[in-house]
Amino acid sequence: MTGGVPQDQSRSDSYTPVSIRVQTVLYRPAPGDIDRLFRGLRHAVEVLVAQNDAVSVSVALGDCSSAASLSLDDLASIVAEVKPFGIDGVTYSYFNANLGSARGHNRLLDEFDHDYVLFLNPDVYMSPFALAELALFMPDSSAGIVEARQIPLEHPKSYDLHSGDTSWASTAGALVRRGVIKATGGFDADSFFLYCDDVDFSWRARLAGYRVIHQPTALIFHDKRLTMEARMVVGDAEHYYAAEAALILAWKFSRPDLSEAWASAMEESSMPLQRKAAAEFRRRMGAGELPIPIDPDGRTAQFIDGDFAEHRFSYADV
Amino acid sequence: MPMSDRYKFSLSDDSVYRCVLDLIEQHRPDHGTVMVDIGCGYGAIAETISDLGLGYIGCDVEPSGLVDLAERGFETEVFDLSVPGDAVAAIEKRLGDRALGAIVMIDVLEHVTNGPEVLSALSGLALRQGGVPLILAVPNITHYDIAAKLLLGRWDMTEVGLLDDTHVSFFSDLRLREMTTQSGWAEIGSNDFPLRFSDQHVPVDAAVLQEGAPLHDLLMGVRERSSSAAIVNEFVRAYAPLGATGGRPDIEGNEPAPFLSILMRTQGTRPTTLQEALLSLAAQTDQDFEVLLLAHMVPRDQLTHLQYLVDAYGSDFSARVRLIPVDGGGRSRPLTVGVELARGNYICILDDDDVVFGHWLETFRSVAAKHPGKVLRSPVAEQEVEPTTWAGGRPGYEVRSRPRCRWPEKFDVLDHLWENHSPPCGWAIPRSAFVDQGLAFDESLPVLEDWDVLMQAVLWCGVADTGEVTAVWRRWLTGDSSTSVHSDIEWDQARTAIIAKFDAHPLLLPAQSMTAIQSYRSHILDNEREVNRLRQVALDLQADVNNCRHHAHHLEGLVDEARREVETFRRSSSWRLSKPVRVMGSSVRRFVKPPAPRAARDD
Repeated sequence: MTGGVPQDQSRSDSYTPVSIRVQTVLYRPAPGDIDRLFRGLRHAVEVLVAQNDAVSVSVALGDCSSAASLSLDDLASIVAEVKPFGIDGVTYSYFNANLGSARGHNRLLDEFDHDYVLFLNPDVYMSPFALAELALFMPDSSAGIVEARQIPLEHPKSYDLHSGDTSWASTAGALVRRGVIKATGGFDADSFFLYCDDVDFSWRARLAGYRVIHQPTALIFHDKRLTMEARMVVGDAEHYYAAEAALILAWKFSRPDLSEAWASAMEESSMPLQRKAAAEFRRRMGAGELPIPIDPDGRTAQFIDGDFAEHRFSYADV
Repeated sequence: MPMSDRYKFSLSDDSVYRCVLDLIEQHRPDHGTVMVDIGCGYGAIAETISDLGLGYIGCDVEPSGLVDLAERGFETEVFDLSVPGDAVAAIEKRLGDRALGAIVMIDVLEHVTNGPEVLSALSGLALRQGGVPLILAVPNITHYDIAAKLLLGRWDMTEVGLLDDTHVSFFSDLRLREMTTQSGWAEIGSNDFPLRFSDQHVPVDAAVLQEGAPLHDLLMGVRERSSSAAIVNEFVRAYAPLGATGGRPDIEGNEPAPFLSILMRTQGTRPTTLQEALLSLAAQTDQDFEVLLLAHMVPRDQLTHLQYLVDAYGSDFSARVRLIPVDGGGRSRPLTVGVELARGNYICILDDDDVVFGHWLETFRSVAAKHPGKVLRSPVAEQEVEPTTWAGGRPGYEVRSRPRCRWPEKFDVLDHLWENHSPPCGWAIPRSAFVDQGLAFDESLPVLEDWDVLMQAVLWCGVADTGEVTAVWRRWLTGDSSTSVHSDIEWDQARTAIIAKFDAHPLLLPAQSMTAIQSYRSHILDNEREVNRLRQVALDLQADVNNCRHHAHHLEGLVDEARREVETFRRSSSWRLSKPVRVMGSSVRRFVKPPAPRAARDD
């Protein structure tokens, strides 16, 4: 871990410390999730700051839960606990509405004035070395999004072993350059509530000329579980929004043929949630609420066997 | 019988006295010093002590033995141990200016209720005399014969022996250790008196006492594995006095024990997966664990890096991780070291290339609460991986397959007797099985040490299934792993050795095993019947083939015969003479259209 943290070349004042804002959107966090999030994060920041003290890290939490997950006392306690590790501040916004992850992040990005944003899921524990490993790509201004590797269930999408280039990055744990936020305007919250917001975000970053990098040495623990059939444990909401988002993504990236084929298949499905997702897609189409298609030449979008990148393996093929 | 006459024993080679004398010789007091024999009875060792050039003073509360000793020319002292201070003062007075060489106390402590006070007073005496040793002999209440008979509901008191009806205090190895340590003595030697068949070995035809009976062999196996004193009739130990009276021995430690002790072996060659294993522990929803990071044959200069990897998680984590260098031995050596140092209620193995889900420990704990004392077992997912090199030449690996749960959700003992279906990262064994039942990793096994210890634990403790997939076990397609480093021969030999170990003792199978075995046997019989049926079909087919072959051979003979007849005919003069006629017939056929096939004509 010898990578230094460079000054942001887009800024005129070369003596300004590199600022990183960590963003997490909460939705009914499990007991202990927030504590675990900060337990990991504070040591990741500590290692980064130990390598280069010209780094400023702060945290912004947005809460979509039906009741506030943190009290003022909780927040004060967190602030006091993490400060010695180099985290300069923690803000907490209770949205009082379930905005979804895309809109929740966008809401937090309204206040974004940093060089980098680290998107982090609330059920994530960062390795102490993860942030420093992500920061290794800071000197490379073409690296717009640098994604961490997830354990215990690694994402199956392929990446270039040497350059790290990949189709898209999961924002369960990804460091994003300020320029990407400016170029993309953040997430497309009108189109995506939960899933595929990061795929869309990544592809639009690539359309804007940035690279999306998978950094295998940057580790995060993402608290996913497996069934005895070796399938990821997901709830009904995940099933529904994943299906809906896939239809919209294909539409948005100029593959109406795919969205039509998928919607037809879902309409024939025995699973009510799939039929519901297809119905919602049809409704949006009828109401003119679908996004305007982009990337007509397919420069960035990849639709391969129902996935959005080439995959090394699949969690679905039992 | 007068009380003292009961104990009128003579010195023989096969007696506790011989063990005592051997121990005295090992810690030989200076020539000319005096040995005090407390509770001497008739002084069975007096002459031998005298022959060693030592003075002898026999002390007892019963006068008859002392009279006998005095008649044999030995010095005696009458005192009552109920007031230890007075007894010791009497000894010192009797000694006068003479130097004390040793204190012997054979079969005394079990007769007094104030053992600790007696021992403390003697410790003071020994210290004042320059630190002379104490040689002690007490009966072993944990002898197998007593334990086995208790299972039969028998407690046979006798006039003398292990269950002498005058005994008021009883000793196990542990209790003796605790009492002597607390009373100011440190053990410096032992020469226990073994007796395979003690005076309690009755009735001899009881299955629990009969060597070779499965019940005896099973129980004796339990007893022998649990502690070393199964057939010790009397503990015979030598002690040196401690400077100050010791406190209660810190056998279990004072820190609250964590729920789980995690034995993590590493050779320092997989820093990437080691980081993942540590990360997955740091992220556990239940943090009640300790990690024993067992650095096996890792060069000293690399230990610093391992410690750095741990320390980076902060003191709340690193305080629970002990980096322990382990040198020598095979794969089991670090596990043995880890078990010795573990403090948790349960012990598990998590190697440096395993990774666990966030509820791994939480799941173990919830099942342990319902089934305390059982082996906890979770199904494990398997994932194929392969070493690779990441950007910057950094060593890494690539996942090559989806996780698969190819091992069964429920633990099946009979299946596991055939082969292991439970990778170690999916189970935890109560530490009591190691501490109290003598469970240990077999260091002679090059591989399969996990299967061996799991089955030993399961057969005695039982299993509680969690039903939750809580870990990922990596299968290395290339590169070093136990599969590639160890040859097929080693695997076969280890398997054979384990089977032999289990064959050496009766197997203790869980309830419902009868039904399971019936089912297996029935399945095998069905298969055998099917095999026999198919074998008969094969025989029938073979017979058909043979018949066909025979028929073919016969036809071939007919054909050959026909050919010969044709050849004979062609060579005949009549055939040659008719040639012009055959040529004409052939020419005519070229100009006559052959009839259409029947089907065509029908169309």
